[in-house]
Amino acid sequence: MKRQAERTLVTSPNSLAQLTPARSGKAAIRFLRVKPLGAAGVVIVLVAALVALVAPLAVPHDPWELNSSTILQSPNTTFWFGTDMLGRDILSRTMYGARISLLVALVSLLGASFIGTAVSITSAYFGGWYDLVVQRFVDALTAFPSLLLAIALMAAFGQSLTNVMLALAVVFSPRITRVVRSAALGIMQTPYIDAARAIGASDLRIMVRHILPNTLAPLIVIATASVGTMIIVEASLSFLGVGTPANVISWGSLLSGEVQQFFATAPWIGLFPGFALTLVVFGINVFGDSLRDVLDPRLRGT
Amino acid sequence: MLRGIAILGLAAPSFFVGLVVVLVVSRYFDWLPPLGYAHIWNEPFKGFQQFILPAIALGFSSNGLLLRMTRTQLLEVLREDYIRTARAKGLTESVVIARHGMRNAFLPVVTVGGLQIGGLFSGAVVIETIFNLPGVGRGLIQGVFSRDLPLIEAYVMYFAVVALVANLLVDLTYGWIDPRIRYE
Repeated sequence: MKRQAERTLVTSPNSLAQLTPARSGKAAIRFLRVKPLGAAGVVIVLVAALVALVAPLAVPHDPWELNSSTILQSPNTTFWFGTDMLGRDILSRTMYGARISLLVALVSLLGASFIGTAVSITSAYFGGWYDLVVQRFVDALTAFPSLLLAIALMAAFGQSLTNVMLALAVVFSPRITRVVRSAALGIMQTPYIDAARAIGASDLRIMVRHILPNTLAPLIVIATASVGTMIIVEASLSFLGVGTPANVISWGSLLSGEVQQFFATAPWIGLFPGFALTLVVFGINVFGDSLRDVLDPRLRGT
Repeated sequence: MLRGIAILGLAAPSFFVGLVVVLVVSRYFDWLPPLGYAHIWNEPFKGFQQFILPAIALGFSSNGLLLRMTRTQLLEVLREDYIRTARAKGLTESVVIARHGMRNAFLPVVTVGGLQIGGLFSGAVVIETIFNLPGVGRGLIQGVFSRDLPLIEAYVMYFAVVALVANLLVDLTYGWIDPRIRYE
């Protein structure tokens, strides 16, 4: 009985930490019923992830293979999405593009979430001058438009796939910091933090075991809301030629450079990767929106 | 239908929208913006023609967010009692929405619009590249290619300052939209 009371104190009703597999399975079914559009978004993202995973095995043609006899073919039975000005298969290239876009999104999201939560929880926990300094730094970073800051960072780091992920993680961590810090500040006021302190838990233990799990819901909401923008920023960087190196196939680079000269006469070389990109970002956005509706009690029912 | 376009506008990256706009206009209207940059003061007509397509492409993505924001706000405001009062007075629906609805729903929309200015600069970098306009965005990219770090710093700083000033102006318009808000 006493244990039960302790448990309900430690985990807020909104916490995701208490979801067991059976309950999350039920929650998934409810999500599908209440938010069909969000579920469609999940399906889109899952299909894209599957394509990205199996691309090396499933591509119909070698995406790098140049072939002078198949230049600029419109979509046909051999080349479903057509070929580009160097005779490369657009379908295979689009499938490989999914790998880079999703990999970059996933890694930078984890990076941004890690930096964001670490900074925000310590900042909320210790407060004082540390909080003040960190938050002004965060304010300064958020003043820069995301793509521009990413471009500037890429210029400083130099072009490579790792640096794109690093730049995106740095660019997107301030917004995560903002959201998680405000959630953490609220949790700091709850009695169970005082209780944890009273039984002699260390600072680290309180932050990791008590504050972190309770900030997961807002963290997940802001993270899913950021992934779409991350993919777009990565594609924009590659499109401008300052993102992933030229030999890496990404959805942005599939539309960049000399592709634009051929776009008016052979639109399929850009349309398919562009649509793939738009569709995935759309899927992530609608999924993020419905997830926010479900996880954020203030917005429930709107 | 409009909402669908708006959500798509949020998802489609500006470079893709830019390319598609050029494609559609050149294919179906047989028209391309004049080549070679003409300053709008020197040749107003040519300059204007050059800016139509980039403006459409750039506006497409921010339109999505603004549309959604306005819609939810207006829906909220239209439930208020004073809207019913305005209707009961016998005002036409357009006056009710324009004078009583929009004015009260506009505050958050203006906020979001102000925040979008930073995003517009991001879009401008891309759009200026596609349409080959010699603007600040193009300058930034050229700075990156020539690894001219001081130039890049200056441009990024400039963008940040303009975005901050824009947000300050947005804050100041609050008082004008809603006279109840006063700054000490």
